[in-house]
Amino acid sequence: MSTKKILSLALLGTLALAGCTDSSETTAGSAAPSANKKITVGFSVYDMQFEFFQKMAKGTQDAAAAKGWEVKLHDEKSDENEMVTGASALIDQGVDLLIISPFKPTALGPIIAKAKAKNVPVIVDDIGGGGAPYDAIVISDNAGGGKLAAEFMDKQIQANGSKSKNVASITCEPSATYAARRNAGFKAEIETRGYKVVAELSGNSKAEEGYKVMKDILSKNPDVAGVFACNDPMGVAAANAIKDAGKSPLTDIVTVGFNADPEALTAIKSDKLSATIAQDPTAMGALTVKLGEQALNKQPIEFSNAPEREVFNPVTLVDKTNVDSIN
Amino acid sequence: MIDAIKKVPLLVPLVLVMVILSISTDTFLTVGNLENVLVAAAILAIPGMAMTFCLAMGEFDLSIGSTVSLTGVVCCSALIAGQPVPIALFLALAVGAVIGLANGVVITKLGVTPFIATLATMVIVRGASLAYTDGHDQIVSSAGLKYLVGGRPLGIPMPIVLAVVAAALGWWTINRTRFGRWVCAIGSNRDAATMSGLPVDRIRIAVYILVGLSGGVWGLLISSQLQKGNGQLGLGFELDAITVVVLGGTALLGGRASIIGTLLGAVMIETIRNGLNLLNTPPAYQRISVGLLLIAALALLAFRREDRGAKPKRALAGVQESAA
Amino acid sequence: MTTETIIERTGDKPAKISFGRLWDTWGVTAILILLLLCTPAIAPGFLEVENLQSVLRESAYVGIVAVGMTFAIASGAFDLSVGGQLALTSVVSLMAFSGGGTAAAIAAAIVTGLLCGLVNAGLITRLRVPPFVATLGSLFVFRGIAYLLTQDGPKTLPYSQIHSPFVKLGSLNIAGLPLPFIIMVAVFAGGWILLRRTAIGRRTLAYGSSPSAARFCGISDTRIRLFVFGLVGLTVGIAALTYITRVWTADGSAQDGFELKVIAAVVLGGTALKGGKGTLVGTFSAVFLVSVLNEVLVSRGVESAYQRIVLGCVLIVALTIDGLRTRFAGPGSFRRAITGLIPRKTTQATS
Repeated sequence: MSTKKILSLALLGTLALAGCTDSSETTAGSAAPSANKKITVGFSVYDMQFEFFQKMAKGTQDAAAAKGWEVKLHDEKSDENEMVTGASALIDQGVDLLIISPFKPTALGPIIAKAKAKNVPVIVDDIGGGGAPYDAIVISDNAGGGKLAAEFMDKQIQANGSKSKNVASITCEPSATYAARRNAGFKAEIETRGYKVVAELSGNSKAEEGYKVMKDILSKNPDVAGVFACNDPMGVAAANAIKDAGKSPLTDIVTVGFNADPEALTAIKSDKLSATIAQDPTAMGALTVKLGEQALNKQPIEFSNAPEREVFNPVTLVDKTNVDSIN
Repeated sequence: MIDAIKKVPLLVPLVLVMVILSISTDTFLTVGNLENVLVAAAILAIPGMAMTFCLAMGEFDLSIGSTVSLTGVVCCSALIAGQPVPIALFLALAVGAVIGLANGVVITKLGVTPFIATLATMVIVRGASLAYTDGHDQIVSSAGLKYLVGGRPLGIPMPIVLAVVAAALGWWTINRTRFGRWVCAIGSNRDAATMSGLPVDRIRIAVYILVGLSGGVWGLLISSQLQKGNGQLGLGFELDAITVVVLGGTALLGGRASIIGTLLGAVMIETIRNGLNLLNTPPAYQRISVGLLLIAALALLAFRREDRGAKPKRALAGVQESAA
Repeated sequence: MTTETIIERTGDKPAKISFGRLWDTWGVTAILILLLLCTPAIAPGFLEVENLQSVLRESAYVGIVAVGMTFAIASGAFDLSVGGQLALTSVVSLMAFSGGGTAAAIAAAIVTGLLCGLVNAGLITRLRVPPFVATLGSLFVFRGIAYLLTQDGPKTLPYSQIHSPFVKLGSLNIAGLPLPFIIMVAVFAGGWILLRRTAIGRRTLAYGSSPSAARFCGISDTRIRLFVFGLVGLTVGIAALTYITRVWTADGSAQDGFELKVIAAVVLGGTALKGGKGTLVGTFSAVFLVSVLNEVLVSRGVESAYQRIVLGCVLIVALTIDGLRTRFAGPGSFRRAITGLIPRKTTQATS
């Protein structure tokens, strides 16, 4: 038995060794970087199953292609282990620049440590920086978006003539600390306008749970005049729940989502959702490439928030009046 | 009454929780809220019925959450393609049944353990759903589909009607038909069932088809609520379905089934969830509560089984006899 | 064929090496080696040193917990709470690190892991909750506590600690081999000795094949449960160390679905879900089979949706071979397994 095990380990070992000798030749050939070589940029993306990140990847790839760069794409598949493994692999493959939209911003540390050791600049796209020494981060103004939602909601509630000053807020999963800024920004602004957030519950970013949570909110506070959801799947689901309860997600309860996903835009067009906050992932992708070029050329970057090296990409409110101008 | 409590031990904690919620909130005990809880419980109970058969047989199906996603996608894209509602519903259910059939065949004919077989289909079906939609929502606006959750025949919400029908059928099948007895026989001792000439493979395949179908119904109900289908729906639903059944007292090792227990299990889960939301509980505490509840309910069940503690001894006596 | 079978059956003393027995222990290893031999053709970049190191490093935490899980499944029980244990242990360990440095972090991880295991064992033996449900419940509870501890944001290794010895735990290479991989091999070796060379290991197997018969032989339920679930907790503690020193962060949602990953590796390796049989060699190979396959698919640029489909199919195919073998168990089984695939008329009676 034990001999068999040793045999297997030896086999694996020889295979690994064979691999080593094999690879040292190939790496020696390809690793020599020349000054005029085509620039390769690695882009590690949060999860390509989401339309938002598909657009972000498109924006990044198009902007890089316009500069004649090559893009190596890596899909983190919503997994921090895959994120660290894949992004490190990009650096191992010798990319000149790393752009990353991190699934777990706090797991950026080991990646950036590795990039620093190889002198590869790192531009973070959205989600958050996790306190690591990245070169720059492009981020939607999440709190600002929440504030926009609150301003719109207040205006619309008054237009609806609702007397209630109660509103509700549906949050993403508790670990999404950066998305939580949306609800925080919303809450701060709506409270200064004299409203009360009577329910703040988590729908774990999922449509199914957003629907159930909204039903519970309607049971407890039938008089809520507005609801803000941290993302569009939950926002549209909440609007469906409101409709199923025999109310209007426009005139009875002002419903606002976040992201401007296609389902939200469709819902706004067909009077099933009041508004959403649009982030522009395509523009964010393009902006990271521009910042990346500046970092590669050691040019100074103009930050919106210098201490955190943040560059804001503006968010806009989308409602029935301007929905046709989006995409 | 005492007999009822013995048969369905979940009754006591459920009533207890409901009383506590009625006192601590002024909204739990309103018609609107109770209907809200019961509709949610009904939607959970329908797949729970099929899963009860599966667990009674001593097996379980992990692929049901992915089935929810794929059947929802199939239904919505059929509607988008202009198919009438009945055709879309039929297609979705057919896909559910085919997934169940695939599970059953892989498990019985290829001899793959149910855990791995359904784990593999869970991954494959989710992959198919994601690949087909390419991450996009399949958005519909269909009054016909909406009827599944919004309809009110005789003033009763449609999901409750469906769940009651499913429960009645399930109860009748388990307690009054040969098929039901066979399922339990396989659950208590598959080798013995095989040796007594039961068509074990066919029964198992039938049960997996049943679970697949119920996953299809679940997917339709979710898509009816949300008016969309996509690859992200139904994540983690398999645990919900299994939890409801286990909470209801259907033993994980098979051989017993409690349809009423499953119904109450669904009501229990949704009551707790609703109650925690009414009390504005932060999500971290919600998770802990669900876990503690599961353990508490099952510990209760286990204590009730104390009186059957003699069972191992009996088994041992059997060993002794055969050794002698 | 029939005569052959009969002869084999009667002449039983020096058990012939049958395909079935070999397949039990070496099947997955064979598939893994086959896959590795194919990699130069299908994934040219795979055999580069850094890539190999990365595969070994990233699989370590799954492999380490798979050792504990092999014991659990061999004893006839699942531990569904390993994901919750990993999240909680990682969070506590990171908190200990910021308070007391490397030694505190290591101690905290081991102690927390063990405690989690003991809680599970207690639920199963004292409250008599079946292991499946007990660990399903504790999965929620452990994750919930991890969420509570990280309400203000995930716990992290601060970037300023980049040169701390703790970080080296995840990044160091010794003789070209990543330290997490070396730890994993050590855990496997320890596990193998425990399972094959000690009384408690054999008792675990005996308990797994028939709990009642084991009880009859004087094997204590409580001790087996304590040992098995304690061991799972311990391996989670060790795994958490290699995990957090690699990703530097943890919160309540860390490694969602971890339990399925680990159980799949163990079962793929050839440990029977019914209990009573456990193969650590198989588990070892299965862990790498999954990660090598994943790596190959990624480097081929296969989209994640299709990656899932391929991985699922591989699981089924690998287990089908095993399933067919057990279905037509006994000497000469391989041939019958193959012929069993073809609809039969006459052989009906033999099966």
